[in-house]
Amino acid sequence: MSTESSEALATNSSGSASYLLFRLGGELFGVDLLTVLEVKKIPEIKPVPYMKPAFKGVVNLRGQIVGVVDLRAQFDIKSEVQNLGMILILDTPGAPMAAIVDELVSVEEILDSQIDREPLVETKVPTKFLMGIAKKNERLMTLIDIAGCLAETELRSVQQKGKAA
Amino acid sequence: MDPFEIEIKQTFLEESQQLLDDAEEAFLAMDAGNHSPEQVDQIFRLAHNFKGSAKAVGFDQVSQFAHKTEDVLSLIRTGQLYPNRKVCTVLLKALDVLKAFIAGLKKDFDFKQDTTQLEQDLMALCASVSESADAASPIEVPKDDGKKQEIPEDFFAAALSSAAATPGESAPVPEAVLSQNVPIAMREVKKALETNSASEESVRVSTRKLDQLLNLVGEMVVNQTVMNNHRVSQTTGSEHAVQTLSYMSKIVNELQDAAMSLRMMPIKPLFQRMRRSLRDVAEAQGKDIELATEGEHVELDKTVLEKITDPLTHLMRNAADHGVEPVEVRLAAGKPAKATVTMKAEQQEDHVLITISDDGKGLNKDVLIKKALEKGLIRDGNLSDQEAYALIFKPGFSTKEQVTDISGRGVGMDVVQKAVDDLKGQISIQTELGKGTSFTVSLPLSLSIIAGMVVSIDQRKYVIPVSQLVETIEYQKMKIETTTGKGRMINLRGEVLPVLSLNQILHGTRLPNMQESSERHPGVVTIRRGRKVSFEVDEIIGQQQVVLKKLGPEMQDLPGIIAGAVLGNGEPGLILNLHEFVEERKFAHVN
Repeated sequence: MSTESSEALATNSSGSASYLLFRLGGELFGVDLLTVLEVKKIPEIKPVPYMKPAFKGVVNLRGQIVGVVDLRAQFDIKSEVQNLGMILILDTPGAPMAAIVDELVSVEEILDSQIDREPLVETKVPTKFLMGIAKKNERLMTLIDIAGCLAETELRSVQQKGKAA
Repeated sequence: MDPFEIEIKQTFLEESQQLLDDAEEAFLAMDAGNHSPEQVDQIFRLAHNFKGSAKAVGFDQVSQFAHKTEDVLSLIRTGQLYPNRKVCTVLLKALDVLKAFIAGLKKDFDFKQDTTQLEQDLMALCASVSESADAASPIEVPKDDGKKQEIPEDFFAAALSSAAATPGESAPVPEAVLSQNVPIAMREVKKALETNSASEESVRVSTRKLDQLLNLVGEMVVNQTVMNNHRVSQTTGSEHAVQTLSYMSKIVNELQDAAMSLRMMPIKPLFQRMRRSLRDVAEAQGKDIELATEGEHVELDKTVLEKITDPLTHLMRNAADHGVEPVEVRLAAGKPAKATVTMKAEQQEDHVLITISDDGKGLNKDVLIKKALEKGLIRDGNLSDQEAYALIFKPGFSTKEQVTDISGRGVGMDVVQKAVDDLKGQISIQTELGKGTSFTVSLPLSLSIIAGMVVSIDQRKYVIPVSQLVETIEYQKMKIETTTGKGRMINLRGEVLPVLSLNQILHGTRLPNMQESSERHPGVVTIRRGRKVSFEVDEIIGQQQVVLKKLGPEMQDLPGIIAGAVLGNGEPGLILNLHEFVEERKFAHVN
């Protein structure tokens, strides 16, 4: 799900892949469509203690308890949208996770040639999960492996059992 | 290997598990001296068929070893060898070897097991008979007897072995015969052993499918509750619809019971295992111990049963090793030489209680405290009885002076405690000096649906397993006092209980002004290692069945949070483990 998948995408026969584009604040982001299980309006979220502020809590997704991360908080992006927004249900290893985004933009086919794989820009996305910057329709968008990123991000605010951080 | 061969091998391995268990039961009966000639016949046939089937499916080494065992059984059957303790020990050990062998073959068809030592032991038993027979009278030597058994040697087995192992070499055997004979041979033996049990047809289903079913039923139960809540809140709706709804909810409840019963297994095989390990301990220590069992038809969830087997075995060995005194001591104390260890299972609502009690020396509070002080496990020896008994669950505590290979490694009781905790159960000790000790393990019937107490803390809902609760209390009816302005406590019917705030523990909120609010709050009381602790909550909403849900990896190991849940109204919730908060003493001291 991490670098392997981005490499696999880069070398696929057609040289392109579908991305789900969304907005966080004023920025455009893209995520590999195949890692998105579902998109929906934010259901009622119940907070979970001992988790970092970006972890908003859990939702009941047809009987499954799924953790929700606010990507705006995770990547420290100021957003004018407070409580609205959508969640993407992502196919993270172990169990699905949900990510809050401001707005869904579209699904785009992006050619490999449109992606700068090693951009020289600063970003809060760990390099390992930064799949590149795509140039399309006169816009630049950050392509991230969100599923891989969330799976490896420490979201707990306790270091180990019983020890408050 | 062709698929057919793989299939018959797998069938053999699966069925032999049960056969070996049956054989163990029979050997233990022999060992206890209460076996009838019919039983010996049965066990002989069992070994004979086992040998034949093993050979037929191509497990030659298993077959050869079973053959050696059969030789000994044959001597017992003809009365030339009496199954005394020594003989039974060898037979039981042979059985262990076979069990290990089968377990190994399950993983790898080419598995090899070293059986030489036991083969020699078995042959020595046969030799001892022929020697004494030679010396005494010129009756037929048992070897002939063995040969005679070879003649009816599974006519189908021989045919099978040639057909299955080397197809085309000998006369062809019809496929239909091939595919049925092995299992049939095994089933017939089984049938012979369970003559009394009514034959009930069964289907083997994978646990994955069962769990899927249970999960769906769990969802349905939750949705049913949602619908019922909805119905209550609505005044409209036709009478007919209301009636149908209430009928539906009855069916859903029955469906839930039926689905849950699918995973339930009788506790009987566990009792049998206990009988075996008790016998081994007794033999190793030269003690005479009898196992009395009660409630072997009580059923438990398959996973619970699997996970509790080792801990219970440990408790059992512990009772025999530490609890029961040596024979001289027993006699000196005016007790019968033969000790009794009792294992009892009983169902109480949604719990199963398993009690293991011995009539041994009982726990000595002073010795326990002294030991714990010596080992630095506690600093203050002023403990209540229950607290002192609970010391044995502390890691690194072992009362026996010498380390034995039976139960004195200093690991064990704490592992038992952990296993019981993991299953959301409870363990308690009753003991009387000189009379004996009894351990009661209380386990939930199911792991997927539990009875939960829903509480509200700072407008968030949490579920506390009812199994952890002793009682709920109203703080307003008692006075919360403080010591040095910190640790809050109450006097509950003469017992001093700390008052912990779940809001503070979970949400890190500062304690509210005591005079203003906290005394109006209700609380829940839990007991852990003999100590009662009370927790303050905002509101006790009520008891309901909740479906346990696994939390994702990002939420693993959060303090005191064991699982997620879907509440009656469909809301997600979290299930708390109050015991963990009790354990984390630091919570009691933060203010």
